Amino acid sequence: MPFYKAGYFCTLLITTLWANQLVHAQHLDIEVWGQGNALFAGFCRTSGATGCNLNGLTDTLGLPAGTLPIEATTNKLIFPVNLGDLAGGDFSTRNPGFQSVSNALLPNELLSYRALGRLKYWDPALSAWHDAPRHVQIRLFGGLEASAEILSDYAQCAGQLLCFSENSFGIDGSTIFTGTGIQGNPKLVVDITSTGGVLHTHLSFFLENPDGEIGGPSGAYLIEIQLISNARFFPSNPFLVLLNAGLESGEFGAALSALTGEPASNELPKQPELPVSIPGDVDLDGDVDRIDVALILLAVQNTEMLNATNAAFDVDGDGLITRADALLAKTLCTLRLCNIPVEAPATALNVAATFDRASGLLNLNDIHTGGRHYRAQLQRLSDHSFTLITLQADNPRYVTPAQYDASTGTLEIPAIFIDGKSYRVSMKNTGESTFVITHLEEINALSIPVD
Amino acid sequence: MPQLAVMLILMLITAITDNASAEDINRESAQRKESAESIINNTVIQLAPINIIGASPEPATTPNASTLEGRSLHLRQSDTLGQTLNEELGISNASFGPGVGIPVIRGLTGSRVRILQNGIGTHDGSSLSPDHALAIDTLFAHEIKVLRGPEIVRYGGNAIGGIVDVSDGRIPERRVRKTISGTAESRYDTNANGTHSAFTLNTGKDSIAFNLGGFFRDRNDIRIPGKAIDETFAAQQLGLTEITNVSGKIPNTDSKAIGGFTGISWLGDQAMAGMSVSHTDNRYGIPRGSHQLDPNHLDGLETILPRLDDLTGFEDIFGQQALFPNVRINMRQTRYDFKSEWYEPVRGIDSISFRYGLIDYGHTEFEGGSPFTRFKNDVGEGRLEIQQSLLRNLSSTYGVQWIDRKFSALGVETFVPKTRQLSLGFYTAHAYTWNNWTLQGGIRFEHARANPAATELRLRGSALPPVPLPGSVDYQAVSVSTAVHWNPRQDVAATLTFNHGERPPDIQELFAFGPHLSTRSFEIGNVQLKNETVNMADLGFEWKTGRFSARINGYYNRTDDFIFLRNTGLVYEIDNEVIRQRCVSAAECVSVFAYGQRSAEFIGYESRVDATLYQLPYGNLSLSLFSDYVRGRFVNGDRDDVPRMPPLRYGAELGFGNSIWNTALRFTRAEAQRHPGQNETPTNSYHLLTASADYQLKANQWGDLWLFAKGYNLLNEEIRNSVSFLRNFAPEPGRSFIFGVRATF
Repeated sequence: MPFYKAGYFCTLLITTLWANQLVHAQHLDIEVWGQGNALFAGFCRTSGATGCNLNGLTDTLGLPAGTLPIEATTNKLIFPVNLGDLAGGDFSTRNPGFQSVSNALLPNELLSYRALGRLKYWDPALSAWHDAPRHVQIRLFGGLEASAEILSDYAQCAGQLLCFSENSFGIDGSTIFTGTGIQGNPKLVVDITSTGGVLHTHLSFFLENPDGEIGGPSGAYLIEIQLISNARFFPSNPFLVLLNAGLESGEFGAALSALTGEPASNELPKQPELPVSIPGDVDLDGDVDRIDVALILLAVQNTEMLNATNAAFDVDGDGLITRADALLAKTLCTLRLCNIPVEAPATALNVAATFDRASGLLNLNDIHTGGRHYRAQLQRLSDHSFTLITLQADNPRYVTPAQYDASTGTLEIPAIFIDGKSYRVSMKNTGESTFVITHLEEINALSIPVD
Repeated sequence: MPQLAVMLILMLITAITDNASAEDINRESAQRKESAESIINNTVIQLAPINIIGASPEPATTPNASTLEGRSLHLRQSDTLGQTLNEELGISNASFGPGVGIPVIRGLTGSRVRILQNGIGTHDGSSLSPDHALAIDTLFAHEIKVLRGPEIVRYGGNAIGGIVDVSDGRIPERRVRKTISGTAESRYDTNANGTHSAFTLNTGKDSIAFNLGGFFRDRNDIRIPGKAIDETFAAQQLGLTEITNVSGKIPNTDSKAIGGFTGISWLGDQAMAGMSVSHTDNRYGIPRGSHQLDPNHLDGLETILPRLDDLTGFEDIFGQQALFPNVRINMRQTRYDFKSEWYEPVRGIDSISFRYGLIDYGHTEFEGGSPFTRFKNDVGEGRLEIQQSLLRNLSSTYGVQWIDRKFSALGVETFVPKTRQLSLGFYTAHAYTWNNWTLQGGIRFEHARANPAATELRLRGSALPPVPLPGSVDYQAVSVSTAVHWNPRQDVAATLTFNHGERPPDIQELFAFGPHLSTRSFEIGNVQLKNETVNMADLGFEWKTGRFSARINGYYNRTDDFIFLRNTGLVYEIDNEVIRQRCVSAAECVSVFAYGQRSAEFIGYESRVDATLYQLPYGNLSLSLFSDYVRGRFVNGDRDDVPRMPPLRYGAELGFGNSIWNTALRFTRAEAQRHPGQNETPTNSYHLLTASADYQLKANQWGDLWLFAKGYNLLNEEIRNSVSFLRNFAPEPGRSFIFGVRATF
């Protein structure tokens, strides 16, 4: 999953909930997190995390305040989506997506789904739920990457670097939900997390007949799945995906109400508190990107006040959410397409260090020492000395990180980006968290070594 | 329509040949009479014998070979080699926007056609992907030689479809006669304000000769009739009804290129040695493909930006260019060429020649200004050749050719690992002349090895397990060519050639693994591919008299183990980086292809008839009729089409002029391509009307001026080229007028 795409639906979630304008987006991505040996799936992250406000969803679905779309009889979460909400026709959708924020899962954790139960159909004429008729089914296409039939040994694939089941690609990569049960492959890959434990992906749902022809009667369809992980013993609780095939919002609301029953206050499982490790990463997708900058600007425009739930928006740490925070987040952006199209000079895009003259803060966004990577912030004390104010372990993020030699106490920073210029700096640790500049010279733009 | 074209040609032949034959007989009779009178009347002068060395006999020309030079070359010269050769029979232009134009010979291109510069490969990225431009500037060309069909014996397996050799004389080959001579040319294209200028300077003294040349090319976005993207295609194939489309031009197709060369030679009495250094820098844009077509898909930004009132200070990340980034390619190549020849070192040996080219090629693909993928191709190619004629009527060539290549395509869109490729070929070719028959034969033994630097490949962000790679793959190939050339009369020639050639697989066919957005595919290599083997018979006929000439050749090509991309039926979601069976939005998915092999056959013809209709006091009125066609199909199974074949073309050119000035009007009709191949879209027929006029002006004793003007696509038709990968996104240029001047001094 590319980092630059990762925040798509997370952002959708945050922004649309804020604005209470979920007119067209009757869905939320499925939030996934792990705790110990167990996997969890839910509507949204830990309370207090950025923008996690389920009231918007409740309003959109016409549910009473304080309630959530949860099946009354089983307590299973319901994720409503619209078939035909994206390009691809009236009978298919990529929603709901699956996402986990930074550090919510382990690096390279493989998530799969397991199909359960039977396909249920809400007949608008009868206004009742029952097993889907024989002539209609929901087909879900998962990833094939972890299939038992996948062969990555070219000797078994007639020389092909990759194949599925003996030299061919003839594999059933779909799960079929029918009124009588699950057919096809009941377990397929959702995706693998990044090195930061971040995941965001979408699968493909189709409404079709048993011959695979797209289409089907209007109504609502209900399927049940749970998530499993290769790193955890316990799967997530099963949950439901409610698919709207052409019903008006009132009819769809009726189908949902039939499941949720009488409104009652719902208690969600408490999710773990996750540290916010990257300044400016306000959507918690593990990176600072354009969406973070846009979200900060939106918060400024809405005169959001700083509180415990939006602390990450105060990037410069002055206690206010201002355009300066957005500007600073822009310089911290680590992703491609984040900055103005320029031809590979040193910018905050590709240098691991930035210095803000106004605040005197030196941000070392990637320090490599002893095979580990850290992120640190130093405050200027005088013209040549700085003091370390924060230090935390982090993932390798930059092509040219700063190098710290603990035995000699020397810190080599290949490029610090200051007001459009780049400088190479050497510093010496003089003890008591103080670093003194021993060498400083202006350099030309760092070229990005891409090969 | 094919019948119509054949009938037109036959009618013209019938109408003209009677008249022409009678005139030829009368003229020949008169010439014989004049010659006899001259011998009788003039005193016989005894000249001292002149010993000419270093002129190796040219092999008999065959109808499948042609050379473009002189005025016709200068008139056709264009920004790209493909566009320059587009009017040649059997050749099409695989465009990828106006910045890229690769010649397609009889429907084959890429790794199957060798593009040479003075006999050594260009070794750019053009054989790897259709969006990579050739590192050749056509304005330097003195002549362009095209050989259609396999030319493997001398040029190696990658010439299985033919060769295009651009000679530009950058290494001086003759002593200078004037202290300074040269050319300067400049042309202007009204379409996109294109300018293209070049100069060459030749100087030297005694046995030292020195060359210098430079070019500059610049153009804006290309102008087209109608819309850039075929919206019917976008709706039907990609399911997109609301796309970002532009009328009247193709955005991001501007280009700018600059380059030059210098060469120096020592030219002795019996030997020469020379070298040249050249550099080309080409920066061009790629028309926007299907990725990023959907304005509703901006990674989520589209839901936030409309609500923001003030974006001051953030235009760099939220401006139009930042939201819809262009893909651009910055290409540069530095070449070092060496050439040495030794004429008649010993009796019976005509010459020993050595050529070596050292090429440092690289290009970076940028998206929104950020580097995306870096292609690197460092190649050394050499050739040592001995020509001898020990026996009467028998000329022979013995040669060895080697290529040492280091290739990589690394970055975000990495799909080929760093690989070293070595190939070594030994060959010999012989020509025996007996009366009016010439027999030719040749054989080549080739060994090729590819060593990937990586031991395994991983797909970024994917749960796919790592894919192991072999340490190396080796190939042995034997290729044979034979030809019989018969001249029953001095003006008639018939040629029958048979070629058996083998092409070892190319690097990307072996080791590709990953998404390739320019061709909207996810490619999976195959390390157990066999040699691709071609067997081709080509029968040609040529008739040439004073006022009439005709040439036609038909061919049948059966290629066993034709390497192609087999559609696996799976798709790869670009954003999620997941392989699955089907996806909701076709615009966000690319098909998963695996390199496979399957026998294929190609059948086709090229024909041309030229006639001088009338000889008038102010000039001659001439007419040419031409047509070409190729049909490619796979042999087994459902016999589906080989994709991206050119359509049937036919047309006529009417010319009027003399040695000072010329005018011409050319009309080409291309039929619809209804055999586009699996998962490809057909293309419509089109009419292409071009006109040209030129005037030779003897300026003064210092040199000549040649003025020319050309009109292209005068009907301003929307032309979607069936051999182009991007035909649904970037049609060919609209109406253009080109004006130019060339000074020779």
